[in-house]
Amino acid sequence: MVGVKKKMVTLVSSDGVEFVVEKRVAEQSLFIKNALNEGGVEEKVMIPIPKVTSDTLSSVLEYCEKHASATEFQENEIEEWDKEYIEKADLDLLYYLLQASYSMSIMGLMELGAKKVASLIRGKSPQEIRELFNIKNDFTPEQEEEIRREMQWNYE
Amino acid sequence: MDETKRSAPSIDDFIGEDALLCKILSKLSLAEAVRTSVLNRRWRYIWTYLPNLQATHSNHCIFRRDGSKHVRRYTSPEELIDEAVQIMDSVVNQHCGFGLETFEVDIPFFKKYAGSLDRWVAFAAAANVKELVLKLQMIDIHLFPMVEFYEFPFHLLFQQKRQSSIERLYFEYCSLQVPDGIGRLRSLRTLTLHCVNIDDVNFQNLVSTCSVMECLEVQDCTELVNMSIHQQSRRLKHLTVYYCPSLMSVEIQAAHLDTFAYTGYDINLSFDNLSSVTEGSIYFSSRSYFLDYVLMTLPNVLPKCSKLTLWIDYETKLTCVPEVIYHRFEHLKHLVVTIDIVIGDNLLWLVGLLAAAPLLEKFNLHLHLEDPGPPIRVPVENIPLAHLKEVEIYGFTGSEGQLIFLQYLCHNASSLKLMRIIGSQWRNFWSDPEEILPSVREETLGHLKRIVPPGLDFTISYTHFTRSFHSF
Repeated sequence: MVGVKKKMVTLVSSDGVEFVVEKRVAEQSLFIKNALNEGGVEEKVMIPIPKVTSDTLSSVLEYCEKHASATEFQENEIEEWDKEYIEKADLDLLYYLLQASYSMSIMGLMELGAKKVASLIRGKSPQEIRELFNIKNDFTPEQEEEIRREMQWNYE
Repeated sequence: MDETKRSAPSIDDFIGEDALLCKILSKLSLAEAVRTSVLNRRWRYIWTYLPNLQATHSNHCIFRRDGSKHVRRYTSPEELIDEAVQIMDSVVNQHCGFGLETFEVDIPFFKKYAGSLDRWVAFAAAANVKELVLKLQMIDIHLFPMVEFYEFPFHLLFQQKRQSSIERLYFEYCSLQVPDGIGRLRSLRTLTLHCVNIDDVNFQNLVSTCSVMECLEVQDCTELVNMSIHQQSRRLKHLTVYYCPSLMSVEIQAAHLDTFAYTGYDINLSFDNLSSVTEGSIYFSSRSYFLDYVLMTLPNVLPKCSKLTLWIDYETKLTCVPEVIYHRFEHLKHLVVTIDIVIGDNLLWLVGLLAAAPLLEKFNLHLHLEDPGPPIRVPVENIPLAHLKEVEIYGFTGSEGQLIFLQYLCHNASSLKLMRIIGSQWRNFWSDPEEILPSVREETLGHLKRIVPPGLDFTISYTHFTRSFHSF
């Protein structure tokens, strides 16, 4: 809208980098939305985002920006965009995005990240899953054998 | 271990919250989620917090002991179902029960599974599940001609103080016996009965235990004859009844009923005097005097209706405008009429319907005309349609009868603002659009030019072209 000044908020990442974004973009995060409602402050809002580094936050905000204007796009356009967005994240970033979406309460991003990790698990053997996600097996061979026995239908 | 593998980021270091891992597992099939318990100690019990459990025989993989994947021996449908039952048996033994939201069974039912299903229902009830869905649909009816129904153990829902906090129940291919006063479904909002064996008495008992029910859907329940919903269902807002072949009457005393949809044979519908239905949808299949019913009786059955959907099929006798309109839909603002394969090209009988709704603002007409045939000309009195603002017609073929009807609308609806016409798919299906459409198009447009008044927002579209003109 011409002439109407957009409401901005400033988000501060855990490593101290400030991001100035439109309020409607930041409010994709329920955590921020609630913080803004409680504060009731209109101008010069600074919101610290603990545990989220600037690299991750900039990627999170890219997501929020797209979804804040979701109504301007067709549904399948957004889906395509989501797919590309999560596809280009490497494993580190994927973990960070999941953790950030959880702490910032961005449900759509959490779903997207969880689906992506699930797709990496699907169709792999336990050993392949361990290798991919660097999961250390701390069972004794006997314990592992027992768990496998309990779920025999899974390993016929 | 080589260098690259050692440096892979560990999911256990990065993701601290077990809830996030559980979220990830919720995106997998149940069998695959359970498999992750073998990864390490942390993952051992994550899956037992899964909020949604689904038993299904269609989407799980089997893995061999050596880890090779996607190798599946040949299995018959019955073996697959056996396996799904075995998985769920093992899951309900291990799941912690905490935070269980939905429990869904989506497998065909055979008598031998009754014991397992009883255990699952008991588990879900003890875990205070919010939604219980039993889709026990039949698989190939030719392979298994004996349809078996699961006798749902209602008493298992009421283990604590004869009350249940379940919010949604969905039954398909179940048999329901509901003893009077069995307990209260004090939180049940939504109840769906598809192909359920339930008779009038048990139905009434069931409905009377659900004091806060808002949404009820009944479909293909062959034992129901007289369906009555009494005052206990004060909060019922939505009721759908779909093809219950033995049904003779539906009697409703639900003061807050908002939407009502009926599809099926001709029955007696009665609402209490305070019928509050604002959205109605009625289809009496194979009733030749359906239109007379709509004009003579329906205004009294649904007096507050503001949106009405009607289905007219080939059996319906299309009587023309009655000379006197006895009853009116005093609140009707939006009328949707679907005409299913009517032979003949006269649409002027619709005028009687429009005239019975003096406040009508929006009219949608869906035509599925096979062969319009020659138009039937009948003199029709002009009745003013003072409030009609929007008309949409789907399945337009440009036939003479349709043009006459459009002309009638344009002539009598003085406040008409918007008219959208969408061409028939049928005609394109039966004949080459390139050959037929241009001639129809030009002829039709020629007629429309004479009919459409200036100032009307008018759009006509076929599959191959759209044309808008605000004035000619």
